[in-house]
Amino acid sequence: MSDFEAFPELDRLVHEPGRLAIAAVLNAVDQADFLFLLKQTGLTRGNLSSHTAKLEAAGYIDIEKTFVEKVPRTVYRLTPAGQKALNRYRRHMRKVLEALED
Amino acid sequence: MELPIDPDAVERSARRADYRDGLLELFAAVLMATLAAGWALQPGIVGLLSLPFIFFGWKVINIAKERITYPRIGYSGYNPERQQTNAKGMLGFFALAIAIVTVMILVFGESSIANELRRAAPLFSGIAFAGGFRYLAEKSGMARHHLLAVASVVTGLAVWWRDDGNDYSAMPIFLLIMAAFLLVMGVASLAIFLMRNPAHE
Repeated sequence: MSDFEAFPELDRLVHEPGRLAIAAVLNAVDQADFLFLLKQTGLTRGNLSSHTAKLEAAGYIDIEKTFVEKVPRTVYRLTPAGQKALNRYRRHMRKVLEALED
Repeated sequence: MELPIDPDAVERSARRADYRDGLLELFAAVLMATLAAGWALQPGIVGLLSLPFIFFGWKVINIAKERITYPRIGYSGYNPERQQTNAKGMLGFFALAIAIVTVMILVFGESSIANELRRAAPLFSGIAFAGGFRYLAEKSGMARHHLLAVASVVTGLAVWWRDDGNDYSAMPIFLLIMAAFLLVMGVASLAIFLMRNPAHE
């Protein structure tokens, strides 16, 4: 298989820049709330909501609603499946980029 | 050729976000000043004084973050167990370095070895602190933590060079200088953090 053939194997769900940024942030910290993701990814509220919903539907992130001192906090976490998908995506993308550079 | 989003850069930025508020430096400044007071009053109680910082320090930092940091940049964290272990490890490292020096001096009493140990205590602590700050710098990737590592070694060297070891003044002086460094850095970092991140509506 040539390196370019890795391209169709790319996980389209993770490949989208907004979702990739969300997965990367959640890979760096164990958990984060909506505001943290908003600030770190630079996405709009609407985009962030829609991307997190897609990642949750795919089983890549967990969403937990909690209360801290009576204030609601929605906490997002990358699931083991999400972590695996991110690592796999990185491997595939590296191959593709290396092939493009050669 | 680069990706439209560099996941490594996003990860680095997310990891560093938690250290930008300067609260850890401010808390460490209070710890150093308290231990300096302990050394000046009664070196034997230094270990005792550090205990509340080790066991409850992370809770205090968390409370401050809930009020200052998270409303501005959002909440991020390691899972509670890992967070607690990290904070305890960091504070424990500083407290242990000071406790070892204290015990050695108390064990050797008033002998000439004790004089040399008293003299070397700031140097030893400076090197040990530098290790702690380097570890922190690795995690945060922030230049100010590298600067603190250098400052602790330089301060330790300077106090060791100036001191004759005849009394217990070297360690409190060393700790007070370090507390001052940490306070200045903590206040400056907090001020910049608050300016750049107004409270989220």
